[in-house]
Amino acid sequence: MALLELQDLSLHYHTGRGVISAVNQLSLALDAGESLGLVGESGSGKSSIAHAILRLLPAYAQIRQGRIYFAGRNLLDLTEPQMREVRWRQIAMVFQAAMNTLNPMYTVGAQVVETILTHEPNMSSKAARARVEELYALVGLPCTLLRRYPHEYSGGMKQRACIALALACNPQLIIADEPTTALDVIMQARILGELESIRKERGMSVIYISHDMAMMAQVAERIGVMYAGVLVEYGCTIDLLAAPAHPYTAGLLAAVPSMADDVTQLQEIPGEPVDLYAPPAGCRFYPRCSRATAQCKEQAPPLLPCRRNRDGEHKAACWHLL
Amino acid sequence: MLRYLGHRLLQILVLLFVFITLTYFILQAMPGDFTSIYASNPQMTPEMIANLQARFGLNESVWVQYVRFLRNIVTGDLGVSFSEYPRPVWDIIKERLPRTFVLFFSANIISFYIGFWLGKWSAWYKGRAADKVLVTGSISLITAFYPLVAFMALWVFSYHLGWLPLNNFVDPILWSNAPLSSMQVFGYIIYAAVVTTALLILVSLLLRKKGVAGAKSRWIPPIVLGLALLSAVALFQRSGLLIYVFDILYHLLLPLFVLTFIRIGSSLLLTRDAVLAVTQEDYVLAARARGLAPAVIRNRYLARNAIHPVVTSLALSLGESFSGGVVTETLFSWPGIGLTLLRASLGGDYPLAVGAFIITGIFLLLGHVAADIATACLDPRLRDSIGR
Amino acid sequence: MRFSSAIVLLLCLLAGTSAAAAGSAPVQLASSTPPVLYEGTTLAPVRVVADWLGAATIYDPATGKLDVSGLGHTVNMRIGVDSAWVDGQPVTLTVPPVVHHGSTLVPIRFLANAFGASVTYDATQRIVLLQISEREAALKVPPTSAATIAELRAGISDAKLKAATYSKGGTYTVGVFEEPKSNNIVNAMGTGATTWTNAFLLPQYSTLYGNTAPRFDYAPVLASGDPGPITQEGDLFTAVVPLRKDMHWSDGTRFTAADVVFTYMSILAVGPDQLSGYWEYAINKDLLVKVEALDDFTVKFYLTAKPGLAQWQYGLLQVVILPKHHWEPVFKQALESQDPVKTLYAFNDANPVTIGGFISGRWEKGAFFEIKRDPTSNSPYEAIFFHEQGLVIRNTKTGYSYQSENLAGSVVDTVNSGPFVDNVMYRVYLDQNAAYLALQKGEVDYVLNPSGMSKGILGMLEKHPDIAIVQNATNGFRFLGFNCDRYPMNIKAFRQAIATVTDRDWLAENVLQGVIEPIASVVPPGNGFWHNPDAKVWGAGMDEYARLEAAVKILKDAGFTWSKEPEVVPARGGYAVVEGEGLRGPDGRLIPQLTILSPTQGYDPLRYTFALHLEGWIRTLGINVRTRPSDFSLIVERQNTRDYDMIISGYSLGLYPSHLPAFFHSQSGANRSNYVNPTYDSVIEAFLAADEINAARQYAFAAQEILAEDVPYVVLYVNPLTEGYRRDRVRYQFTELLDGIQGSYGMPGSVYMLE
Repeated sequence: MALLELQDLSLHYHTGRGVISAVNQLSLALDAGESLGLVGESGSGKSSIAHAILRLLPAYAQIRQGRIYFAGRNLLDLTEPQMREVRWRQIAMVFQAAMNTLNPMYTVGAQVVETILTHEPNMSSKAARARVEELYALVGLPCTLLRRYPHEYSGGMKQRACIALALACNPQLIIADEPTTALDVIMQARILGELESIRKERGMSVIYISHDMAMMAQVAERIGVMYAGVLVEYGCTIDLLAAPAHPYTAGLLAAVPSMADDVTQLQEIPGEPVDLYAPPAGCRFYPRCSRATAQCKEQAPPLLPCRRNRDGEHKAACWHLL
Repeated sequence: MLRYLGHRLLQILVLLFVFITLTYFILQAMPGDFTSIYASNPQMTPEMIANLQARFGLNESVWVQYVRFLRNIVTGDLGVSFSEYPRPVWDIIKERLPRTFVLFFSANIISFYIGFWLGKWSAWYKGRAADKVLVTGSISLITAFYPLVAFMALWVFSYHLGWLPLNNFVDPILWSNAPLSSMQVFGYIIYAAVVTTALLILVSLLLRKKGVAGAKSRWIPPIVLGLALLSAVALFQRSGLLIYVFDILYHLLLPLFVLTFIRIGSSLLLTRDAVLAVTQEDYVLAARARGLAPAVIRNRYLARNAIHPVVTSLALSLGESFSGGVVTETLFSWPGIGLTLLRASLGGDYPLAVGAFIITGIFLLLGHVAADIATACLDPRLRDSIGR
Repeated sequence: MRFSSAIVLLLCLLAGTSAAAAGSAPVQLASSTPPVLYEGTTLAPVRVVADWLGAATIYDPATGKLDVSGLGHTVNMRIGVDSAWVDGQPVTLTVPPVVHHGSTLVPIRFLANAFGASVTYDATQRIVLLQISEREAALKVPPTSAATIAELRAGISDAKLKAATYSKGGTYTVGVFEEPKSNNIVNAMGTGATTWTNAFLLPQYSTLYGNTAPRFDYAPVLASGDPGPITQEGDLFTAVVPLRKDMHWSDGTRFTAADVVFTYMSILAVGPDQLSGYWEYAINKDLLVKVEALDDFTVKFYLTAKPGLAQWQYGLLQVVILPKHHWEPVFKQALESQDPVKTLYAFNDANPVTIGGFISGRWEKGAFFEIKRDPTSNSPYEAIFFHEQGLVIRNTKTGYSYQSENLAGSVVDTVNSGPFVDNVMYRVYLDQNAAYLALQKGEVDYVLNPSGMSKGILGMLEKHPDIAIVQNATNGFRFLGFNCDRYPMNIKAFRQAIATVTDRDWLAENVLQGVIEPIASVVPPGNGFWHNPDAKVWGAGMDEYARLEAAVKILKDAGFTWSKEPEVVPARGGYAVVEGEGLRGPDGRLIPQLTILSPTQGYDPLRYTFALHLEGWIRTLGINVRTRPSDFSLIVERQNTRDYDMIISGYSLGLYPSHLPAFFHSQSGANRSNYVNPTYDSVIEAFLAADEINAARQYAFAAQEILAEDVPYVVLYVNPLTEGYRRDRVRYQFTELLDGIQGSYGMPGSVYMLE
């Protein structure tokens, strides 16, 4: 059975100007020990899904429909105290731009210990501190940093500390939301490498959320491509990268300039992003698709398995697959 | 840290000098002088008034008076007042300042504490009924016409219900045979308060040095406070002063209550605003994601980060505790430094007016320094700026 | 037959005469409480006797005072006191008045004799016969049981004990607005003089002579008789003053001439002009050379010139006398120091030696101060009897007595000196409203408010059943002053015209609702002795239109012209005023724009209102005038520098009209209106030189007539003083006097606490 399963999830934001349809009928599944990457532009709804899973959505968000199953339970049915037990203990998150995710008033070490003790109250503070030191060693941070405040950490250190924090309670699933966006390439490679090795070691599942296809290629076993709140393509990384079925995926891949060729001009996907306040009835990619037809305008294509599926799980939502 | 303090103290001295000079010349510029009140008294001939002016040095030029005054200040002599000639100005201030201080300082501390606590909850329950009630209440209190509120409180609690005394800070019948003066008892009260506060700060610092504040160590400061108060009471009882201390505290209740009540509104709204601003921060969301208890989030993540403007405001208002409030002092017959200042300024009693301005000015400026130091202590990010 | 008819005739005649004699048959007097024969004296209820005599009885159960007056006689008695006064003469009683079974019993013979009635007692019939000018009354005296005698004896000794100290005791609580400036009487008589300092200290001290409330007659206090005549001895003028032999200070030391000499000579040594305040006012070092003791109880004053009333009776002789043994070391140290006055004033007199009947109690800074009764003082045994003219002072303990030289007529009022309370507690309320709330609550018995209560507070207190409201006149006035040096205020007709259009009566009644009392004289009517009721009042009894016409006539007669003359025209069933324009002086000069300086509305709404209306009235005369509300200190400054056109201000006055010379003599430094009139100067100089009070009065009257004619001041009004006290707590011996109860600082020396 899948560790995490999203079924028909639809998410709306009620703003002053109207209602935004942020996520539209999304279905996903993730097994234990698997790594999944969610790719898309900003505003495609990927972070919303992460927040939805942990039920950290703001008050003006509303889950119109759908279920989120984790280890057999529908998270949407849980009470707040129950959810608090799930958070971090079962599902942890590494936040986007860890610049500001730590309380500047207390030492980092104190905050990690606090988190551990919250979920394992019977543990002695000494044992908790011992575990924190282990975690720091794991992510490659010197233990002297435990007594320092967040503003005394560099960007990379903070990110690693956040990873250590995420691992603190041995969760089954970690969601890494843009974990390396603010870092340089070398740091990025190192951190991703560490994260992957820990994942494989502990048998954790990880969901990577990013707009960086290249990063996904490195770490994700399966990739989901999102556009305007809709999952447009989903499959194992190798298949997807080798032969993308959806025009948007192809566009994304093509946009990454090749190191080998002579590149004089960047390839871009033409058109404007869709207005989420009044989403069209048809395919949301319609205005920018070179293969679009009248049918695309009227009907939204369903997410269906496409012809190329090596292990039977390559889906795309398009009337005119590549 | 020491260098920083030294730097600030120098600033204070310069500011103080400018302040004194301005005040002095403004007071002198006001028409008439201390002897003007005798003008309507036919028994005082102009020769007599001239004699009086000579005695007070008012017949000399303003500059001569100013230089003489400065020379005295530098040697620490604030001069003698005109209105209670020849009582030294420092004597008068020493008598009045503790009364003002005890009342306004307590009111400030209590109102800030309650306002902070309520504001924290108000922000937590933003939009709900409790929040609306608190906000509306706060705005009404801030905009209320203070003299009216004060007088109504007096009328209701003192006159009608008779629960609290109608005036002043002592009960004449009790104090008719008291072995010591009210000035001394005020001194003892302040002394006890200072010792208790120092103890509390010491304990808090020690706790922080030792590391994380756990659930159990949260109880230590209140326990220390309780013990300190109990021992103070015991000491007073042993020296037979307890009944006099209680009498003063009993008379303190009504003005304290009204003052606190009025000020809660502003600190509540300030806290609420600060906390709501912090609620947008990433680390709050992260804290929620980590499954931390609501109480922890409210106190360690929201309130603790919102404390900066509140502490600044508190430190500044403590500086104001030394200048008092004329309306309060008049209505509750609590003659303190505020009333003294006003009367001295309007009555042309230059030594007393400027003397009082200096003392209150010093405390006000010290309040600013205290505000800076306090915020730096509380925010780890600022500690480097003051070199700790 | 002729013999028997003669006998019958004789018998009839006898019967007739006896019938005629008796019937007026003696009126049988009845009383609920029967008369009692006690140890040889017959006692009867006072009212029974007094009513038949035709005399009025006033009994004050609170104080025990029993006064019976009528038929040209006054009898003052007191429950439990075996001495009484009949027409001001002391009489000893065999049995004191006593309250028995609800009636007040007094010795019949004594009472009846006092009114000129004769008393005979028929022992066999046990009937007392009273006879007064053709009338007779009979009072039956039943046999007195031993039980009644015993009861009476107990009642009498009780009453005697109670009256022995003449004191009801208790604490008299007064609400005040400020604390004293000093506990040092020398300071208080100098720069530290405020109402509150005086309230604290003046009851503790006395002067040689003073003004006795409520009539404010001049009488000796520490002196024992009138001051001797001023006689010339060589270059100097001397006067002898006898002192009382029966006074002593609160520590037991006897009061002697040494104290008097010490006081005057020490002040001279320090320099009264240095001490400032009342010392400087009363003791003129150019006038007083020295004071000598002729013996222990006589002093002699040596002066350089013949003094007038202001300098002698109302100046030098009204100085507070200090105890030598207490103050000598203080003065010695002061004179040796660098600044004697400062040292003197700085002296903390925490344990003073006093003579006024009170000693200092506790002064809790900022909160309250109190004075305590001096139990060794003989003052409570003293009484002042005001006759129609003059007064008599007697002390039953020491035997001292004094009577005025011009004593005439019968007793019209009696005042007992006190103190009759144990403590006077002054509680400081910084806010007037709080003080009056305290009065309502019963926390204080009286509020000492020199300004009197406002109308709002009056409304609040009137409803309280236990609070008595008292209204008196203040000693002072508010006025519109002219700068008589400036054009056109220097023209008499100009001032007279303005005085004419000033309709103060209308303003007081219609606009200010009777809150103030309009007056036109610089000596207020409340100062009955010095006020001239016949001086001219411009526009008296005229209405708005008559006033305008009269003013226009005055100006016209003096040669003023207008571009448009003001006139009164008929309009809509009545009259209307047509404002004048462009007034020109007799020399043809256009009257410039004039300014009236007045206090602001916030400072004094009454004067401000007057200012506005004056502006309107003056404008109708075609004068371009405007009001300029200003800060009070600015008004004072402009007055001092004589830099104003017209100004609205006010003064508080003393009893002696020293302001007549001070404000209006051309050479006086306090003459802030630049008024010059040589006739006035000579009249006022005669006033100052007069050494006899009635002569001075004539000159004062003449001076007021001149001022009324010249109008350097248009006097506007005087504030009445409204006060309140708890009638269920205290009793004052009098409440009608100039400046009210507060003028005597709450009258601590004569107030009684009720049981």
